[in-house]
Amino acid sequence: MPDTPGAPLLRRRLVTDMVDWNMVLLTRRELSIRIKILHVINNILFPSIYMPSSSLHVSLQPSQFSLPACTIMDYSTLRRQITFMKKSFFDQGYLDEQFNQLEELQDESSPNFVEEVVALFLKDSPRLLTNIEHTIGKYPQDFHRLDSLVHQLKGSGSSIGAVRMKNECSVFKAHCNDKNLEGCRRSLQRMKREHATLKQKLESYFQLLRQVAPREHAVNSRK
Amino acid sequence: MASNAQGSPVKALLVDDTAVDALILSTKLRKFHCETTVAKTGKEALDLFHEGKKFDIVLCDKDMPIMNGLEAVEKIRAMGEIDVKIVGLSADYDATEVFMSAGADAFVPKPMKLDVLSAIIQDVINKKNNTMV
Repeated sequence: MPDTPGAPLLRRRLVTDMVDWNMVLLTRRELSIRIKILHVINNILFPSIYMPSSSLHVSLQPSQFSLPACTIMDYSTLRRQITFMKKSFFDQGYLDEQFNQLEELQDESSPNFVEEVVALFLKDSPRLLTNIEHTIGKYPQDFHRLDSLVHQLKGSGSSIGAVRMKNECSVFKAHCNDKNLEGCRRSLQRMKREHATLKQKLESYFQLLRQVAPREHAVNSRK
Repeated sequence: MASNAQGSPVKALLVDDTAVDALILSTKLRKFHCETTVAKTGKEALDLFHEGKKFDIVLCDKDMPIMNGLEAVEKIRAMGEIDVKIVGLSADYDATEVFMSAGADAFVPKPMKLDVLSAIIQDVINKKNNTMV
């Protein structure tokens, strides 16, 4: 495509500006250049785009505009990052097959199901860890209560596929069985570390997922 | 996917005090078009039966506050509710014997897989259809 004067700068702006598609203020000349760029990409990849009339204010809806090639690449990069991130969670033993089962339950009627379940776990589990810590500090020791608290944490961790948390809970339960308070204390510290790491990893994962979600929603709405 | 040829949804009572587990299992039950009620304790479950509510299946966790699952299952059966299918659930893998002794029909360790739940629900549907014939 032959370059018009000012096109390279406008192309760079296209990458940064196209994030907000609802209202774009364009000059007639800017609009013309952008439409030429998008037209070329559309002809290769997508059906023809909406061509606005020559006005200074243009309202651009995601469903009216196809993605320029640069944003498609950003989306592909994001998707790859998400895939690699999730794979690393499995490879490093943070998550197991149960997490995949949760993702299989996600559908159009509950599009954020996995994030909701994980958010619920991350909301409940600190309370359990705090209760475990308080109970460990009490005298005389109540190993029955400790076992009950860790049982809850093990159950909910297992339900979201948090395998490291689940395994550490099993270690803790074994120490409860042996009435080994020092073992319980050490295990609790490991549980807290595992919990903090899992929280950080999953929050990053869902943050990335949220970035691709609007585009996927727009694609799905066009189907 | 479990299907009900006669059209009426399976009425499921889910008894679990763990919010995460209740959310997951009720979502799985929704996949099979079950009408699901959630109780957080064995006592809440028992109160529903006392109110005259009827269920085709009860999925009951073992360890809950106020009234645990084993006690709830015993009392539900003692009320004369012998037709309702009761499935015990627990993160303890060896709770089969205690649940069966309490009067449950089956025990499934948590987390319950979708295909296991599908088979259980289909079994309930088949029983309902046979009863209606």
